Amino acid sequence: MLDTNLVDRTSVDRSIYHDDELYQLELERLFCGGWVLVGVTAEIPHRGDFVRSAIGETPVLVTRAKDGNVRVLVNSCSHRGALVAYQHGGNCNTFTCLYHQWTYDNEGRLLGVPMQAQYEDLEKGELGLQNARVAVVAGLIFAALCSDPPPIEDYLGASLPHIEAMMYGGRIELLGYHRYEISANWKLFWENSLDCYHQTQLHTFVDGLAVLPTGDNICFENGHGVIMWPMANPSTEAMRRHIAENATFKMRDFALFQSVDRPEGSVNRVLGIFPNAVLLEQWDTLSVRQLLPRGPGSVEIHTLALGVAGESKEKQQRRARLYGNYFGPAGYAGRDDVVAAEAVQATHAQPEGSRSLMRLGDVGESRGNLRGEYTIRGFYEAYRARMSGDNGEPGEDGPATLEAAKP
Amino acid sequence: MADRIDVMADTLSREEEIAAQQLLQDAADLLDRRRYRDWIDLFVQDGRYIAISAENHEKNLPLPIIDDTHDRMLDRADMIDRYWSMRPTRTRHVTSVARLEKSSLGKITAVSTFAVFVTEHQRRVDVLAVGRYEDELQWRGDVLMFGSRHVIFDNDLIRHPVTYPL
Repeated sequence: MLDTNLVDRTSVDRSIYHDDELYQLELERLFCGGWVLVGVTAEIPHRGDFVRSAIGETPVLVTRAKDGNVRVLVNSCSHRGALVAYQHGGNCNTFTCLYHQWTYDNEGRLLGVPMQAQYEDLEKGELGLQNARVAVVAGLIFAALCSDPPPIEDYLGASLPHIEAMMYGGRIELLGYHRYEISANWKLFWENSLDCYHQTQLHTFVDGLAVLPTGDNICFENGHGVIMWPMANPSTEAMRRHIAENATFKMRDFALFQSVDRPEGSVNRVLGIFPNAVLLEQWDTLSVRQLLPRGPGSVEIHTLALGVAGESKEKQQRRARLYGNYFGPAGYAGRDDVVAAEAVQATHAQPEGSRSLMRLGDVGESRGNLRGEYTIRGFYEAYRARMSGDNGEPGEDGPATLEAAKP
Repeated sequence: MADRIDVMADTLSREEEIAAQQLLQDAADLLDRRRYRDWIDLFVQDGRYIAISAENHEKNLPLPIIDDTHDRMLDRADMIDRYWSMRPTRTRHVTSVARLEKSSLGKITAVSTFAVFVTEHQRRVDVLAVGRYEDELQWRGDVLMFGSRHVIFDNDLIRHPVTYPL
């Protein structure tokens, strides 16, 4: 049970970023206790395709079975627990454990056991790979190891129209992976992704560079949230003039801040899906980030850069190049984000009772104000509820009214 | 890339071999000395630098970790100098002797392997990346330069922020 003093409306105790016991409770309650993102359908377009993923620290395989449906199987042999697949992905109809050659199909059924006749009490029907509950929404694959997750539409709630819009109704294609590990608690990277307060404070190169109109911070139920703003799409000449007159950093290649085909006023968004996913669409970049915790002080970020079905190869090359150069671990903004999260984690040895503040904005929504910590507060409101084992009943102060926001 | 050279290969002269190996060593040395603008000057004006994971490269997926033209190389040098100094790191490149081939059209390709070690302030040395370089070299007058450099790194996971070109 979470000590509710650790998380309140405006601050969190810093022990939540490094306490081992709390971390184990997070794995149990947040990752194994509900829906998490495990992949996208564009990774497994053909029958027999599979990719490795994880639910918390539980390794899983995401497969496309013979019937065309997606399965999520715990990647652990029923016999002695060894991994049954090592590769990031591939195509096969069976998985064979390297240890004793127990063999499963890609729906998890146990097919073969060496020396089966001599093996005591072998009920093959009960010894398949554990199947997680699976839900596919707009090309995103969610899985749950618990027995009674809520319907996925209920869980995603008012974030669902945003997800559908950002994922182009599921018509997404895979452009590649970034996989990197940072020395920081997984929550710090979620906070950073949904924090618009730091945009010009940390990414100081942006000062005067980008045309950033006002935007919205919106918290949804269950800890999800979005920051969004209308996209300016200046011409190259206008951008050059703007940079010459306003920008501290005279960027020579400003292609990130232009789109080749999205009209002016299209929406740029960063959407967090509690607990482990961030969707990002900014100008011509589109991506899904999956957070895989690896201990209280470490998290793997698996980013899938995406394109949209039917786009030209040139457009997809552009998307990939821009994403890599701006948002990946060598990206102009991406590198800063990693450094910032690690800088917080580096001070984990804190005096008891040290707290981190989130007082810029309330839970709820803010229209016309992009800067704030609204969505971080919304995340921790859900965190407190899920970790406390209650149903998210409002505390003493109560959350602000949440309204369904239009994408 | 090395597998696109013409079938009829010419033999490099001793001077060409020396120039090519020297160019690759200069590139590593300049990065380790953080002389990024001098490193950029090793590229032709329309040169290209691409760093990509082996995973994406082998799966023919286009997502790079860095894909820089000349302008972006200069932008990155500005970023390093002006905005990325708050967490300085030291890198050390260890590179192999390159396999060199020359096409009948005079293009020189160089394939070599590398390891880049990184030392962060008050921390131990760690491996940032290992992999191979696939370079296309061009003469500009009597100076051999990079036409393009493809960096294909083996890491399944990157464990440090990537501040500098590999």
